[in-house]
Amino acid sequence: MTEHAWLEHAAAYALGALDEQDRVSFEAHLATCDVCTAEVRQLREVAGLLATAAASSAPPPGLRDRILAEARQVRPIATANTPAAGQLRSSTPTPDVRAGTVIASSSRRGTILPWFVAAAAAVVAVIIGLQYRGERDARVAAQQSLESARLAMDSASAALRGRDSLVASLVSPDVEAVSVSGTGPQPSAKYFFDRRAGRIVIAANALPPAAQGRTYQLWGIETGRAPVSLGTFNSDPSGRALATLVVPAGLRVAVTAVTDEPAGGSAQPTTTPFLAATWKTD
Amino acid sequence: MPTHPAGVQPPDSALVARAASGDERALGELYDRYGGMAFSLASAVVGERADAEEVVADAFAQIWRSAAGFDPGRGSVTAWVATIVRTRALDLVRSRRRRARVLEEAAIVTDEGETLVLAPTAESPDRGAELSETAAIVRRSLADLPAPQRRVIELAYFGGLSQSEIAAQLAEPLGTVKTRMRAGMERLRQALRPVLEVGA
Repeated sequence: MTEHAWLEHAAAYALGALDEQDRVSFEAHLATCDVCTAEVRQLREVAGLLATAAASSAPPPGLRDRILAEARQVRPIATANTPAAGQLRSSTPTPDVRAGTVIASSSRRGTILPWFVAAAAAVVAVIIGLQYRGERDARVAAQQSLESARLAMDSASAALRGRDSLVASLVSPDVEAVSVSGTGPQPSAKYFFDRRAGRIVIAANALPPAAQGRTYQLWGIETGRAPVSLGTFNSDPSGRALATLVVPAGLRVAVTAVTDEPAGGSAQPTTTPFLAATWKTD
Repeated sequence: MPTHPAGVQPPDSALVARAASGDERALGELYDRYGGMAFSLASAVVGERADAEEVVADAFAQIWRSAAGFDPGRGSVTAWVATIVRTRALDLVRSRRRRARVLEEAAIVTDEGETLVLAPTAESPDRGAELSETAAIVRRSLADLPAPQRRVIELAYFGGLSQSEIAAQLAEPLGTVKTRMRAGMERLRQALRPVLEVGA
């Protein structure tokens, strides 16, 4: 024990009681230490048994049927590669790969870069990315990204359930999800595209609020056509944005991207698009 | 359900595997086995039955969707289910800023130093006999802990408090809280060795 001071953190970590700073440094240590990982695993079992000590309280009789009815609406995620939420990850770090990752508008040519070139560059980046990783890796990455998005939405849905069915619809198997991010501290976003409902949700992070008198505008583009506005949104002071926007019926969206526009939005993009994502068009 | 010799892979992980392949009956069986524990845990954390019901429904939705990611080599089904339920219950409590109230309840201590979150050992109408037997052992082991050790563990597990929050709550030095937590968990581990499913 004395030769391995980190072990002191294991019990508190298994109870979820480490303070933020300790937790972060201990998790970093866990990624490389089999001894602590084994210790945490066993102490988590001890913590898990504490659940059985809670005062017995019989669940309402309808709960079982409700759970099974809800299960019929959603299929399980078919992947054996991602540790289930709530399980300790293995000490092998998982590569941080994202489906459809596209570098946000880099330092190419600023506003001179025409929309089509940006869109084409995005498509090329995706194709190169997929070829480089190989199809299997790309599929795993897509599943991981989708699952992490779903898990993120899971925790949100606990709070929103009953008030807003939007989040519930995000986890429908028909919804396609794509993550886009820049490198470094640039904004990143996840798009959730429900084609059937004609609805797209953007969840952005590290996106500074638009300047006074400005707004963000999301565009959908059909190959060979001018961009169509899907609506405007803004982020909060913490840099987060969550907006639901409507995709006009019949628009075969191949690319979505965001621009910074005057308040109220523009008829056509006037600044360089970023957070570009590509979508399959059948 | 077939009988399994002691020490052989428990049927629970097989149920999870069946759920992962889309078998709804397996989810139903998991609920039959863990629904009571899940609801009791959720109730202990969130306080109200209606909230506990939401927590358990969400938790089983997550169990259903992410069953394929469950790896028996990484831990037991009990610990997996408990972690999901507890995390969701604490999320709900935090999102509704009910923390202060839960704290208050968690801090009510009887003459014996027993906190009211936990059931008196007499009353345990759990369904599955095995689980209630485990519950009895866990409750007894907790009851055997020195009261100060039990307090910090309960505040962490059911109250969702961090070590420094517990120190503030109990007006004790942080170092004392850390020592009690570590010592209490170590004692529990020893006492629960017979019922630990993994790596015991």
